[in-house]
Amino acid sequence: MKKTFVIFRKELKDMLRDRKTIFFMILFPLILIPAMMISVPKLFSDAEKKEQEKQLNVVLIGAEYSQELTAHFQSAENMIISLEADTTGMENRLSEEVIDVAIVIPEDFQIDINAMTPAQIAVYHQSADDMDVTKKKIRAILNAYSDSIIQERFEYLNLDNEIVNPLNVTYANFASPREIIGKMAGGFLPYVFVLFCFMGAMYPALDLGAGEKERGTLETLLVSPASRMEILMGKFGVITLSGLASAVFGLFGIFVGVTQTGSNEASKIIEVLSGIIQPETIVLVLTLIIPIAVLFSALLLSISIYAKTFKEAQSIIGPLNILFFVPVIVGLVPGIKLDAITALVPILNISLATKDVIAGTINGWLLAEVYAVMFLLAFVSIFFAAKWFNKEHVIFRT
Amino acid sequence: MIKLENVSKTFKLSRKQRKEMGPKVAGRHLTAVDNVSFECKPGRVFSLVGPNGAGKTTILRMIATMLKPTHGTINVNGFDTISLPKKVRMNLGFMSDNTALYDRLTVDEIIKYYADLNDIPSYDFKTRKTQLYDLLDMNEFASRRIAKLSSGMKQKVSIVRTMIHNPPVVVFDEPTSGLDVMTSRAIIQLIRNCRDEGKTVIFSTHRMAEVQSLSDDLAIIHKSKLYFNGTLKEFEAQMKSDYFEDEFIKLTGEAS
Repeated sequence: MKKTFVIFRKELKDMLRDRKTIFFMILFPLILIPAMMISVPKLFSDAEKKEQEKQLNVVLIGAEYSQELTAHFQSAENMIISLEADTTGMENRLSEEVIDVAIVIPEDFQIDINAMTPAQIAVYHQSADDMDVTKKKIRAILNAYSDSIIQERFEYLNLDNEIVNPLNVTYANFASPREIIGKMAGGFLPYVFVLFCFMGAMYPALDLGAGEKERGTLETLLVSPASRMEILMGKFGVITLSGLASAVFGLFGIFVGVTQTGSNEASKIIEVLSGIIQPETIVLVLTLIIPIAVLFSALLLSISIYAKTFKEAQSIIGPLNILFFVPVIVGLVPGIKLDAITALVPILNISLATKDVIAGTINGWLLAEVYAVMFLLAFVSIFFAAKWFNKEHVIFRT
Repeated sequence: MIKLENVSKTFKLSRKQRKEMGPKVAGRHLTAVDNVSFECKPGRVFSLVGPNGAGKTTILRMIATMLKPTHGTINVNGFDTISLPKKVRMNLGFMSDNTALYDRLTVDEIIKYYADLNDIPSYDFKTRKTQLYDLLDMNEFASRRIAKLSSGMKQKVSIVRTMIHNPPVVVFDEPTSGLDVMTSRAIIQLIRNCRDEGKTVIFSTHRMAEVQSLSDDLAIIHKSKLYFNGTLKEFEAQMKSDYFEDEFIKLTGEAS
């Protein structure tokens, strides 16, 4: 036990001096994540604002066939309307971005409107993105025009507007705000656990297993009086701590990011978080990170010990990242709930349990089953790591 | 004292290894050490000589308990390597050609780490550290990180790491391989010091000059088998060539 602590202390010191580990364990979750969360939405909103304020060059062809629609376009903000007689050169001007939109109103447009049949209208634009601002602006004007025509028709036919609303439904949701919050935030949190826990544990695991083998330092440890189990447990402790720290920093980083964005969505999320931040919830959520960190550390260390080189370990561990995310994604599928069966599936059980813990609907027995499954799996992984660590052909694999 | 009795070591080969080794290896196993027996006595330097792949490192790793013999027994300072590996390691210092140090730790931190692993009491540690630092002129760079040291400095740290617990048995696996003359000389001096202190020293090497200048006893290993085991004087007496190196080449050549 004393030697395990000696190894743990040394590995921790060594790890905290490794820039790569510091980056993935501390800097990435605490600085880069909040920075990205603040800057990316701001970048998007700035770009959208700029697009909204941009003057659109709109060409109306056949304006004489609907003075009313033409008036709608002419009264719109940030639009320069040009009236033209035909579509000559329209395609070229659109592709060269001389004009942004061309709208063709056909000759019989007003006849169709008057006859209460759908009137044709063609909108030409150059955009690869269906959600672009130009299209949105044109659609808003056309919708406003369409609404005005519908209103006119209702009046003409002497009909009440309510005729188009056959149902007046009142929804009463008995789920508590905490439950709604829990299912919302709880689905997202496991992503953070899994991503950061894996990232935080990965580099120390690579370094303390395959890295030590490659550098030859493992040999010097093997000839020391420390037993292989003591060596393994010292390394395992540091990797677990790194995974845990990274997950906790990740959560904190996201909280910081969310509180600093200042958007409406962010304030909703803050409300959500303040709803779940109660001491017992925090403790329970943190206890759910522990079995993940233990499992990841044991698995990653086993692989790292087995691998001949740092590079080989990296090539095995890389795809595992994706494998661990599949259960997290499955946990977000509607209808999948924590029960006696899903509690047996690693990672998925944590994902579902997190939702229930935050929603305050967790079943104690199922939570115990989740812990039992995760720790059993972690124990099996440590057992295999220890078994491999005792095998000569693994340690001296060439 | 180190005593090997009828020691053999067989490795199971993977399919890939069998493919790589080709017809050299028949079957699924490779015998790295074949029925080897010898004894290294305290206060004497024992050289283990042989070409690359002869089985020298495997023997030294078995002595250091990193590998277990398939057959036979190894006794280090009265402890069996299979039943009492921890006791063996407490009595042993192991040094290879690879300095194998942690780049991000300082010299002092590394030495303290290995001292702690060997359960050295604080007072003994300080005394021993001062002694070794003075001997190897290491005080100047004791607080520097390993990554900032020259290869000669690293080799000195590696020596202190090996000797900090004052082991009665010291194993050197090609300790001078790839080193400059000055550092090689420091290591040779260390081996001599160990002998003078009454320690049991075993070292493997390719360099015949080192064998001649250092050894009291020697064993020649070739193709996993022991070809000679005796004192240096006995070896020299039976030499048919004028030079030590020629004799070694002749002997291993005849064996092939």
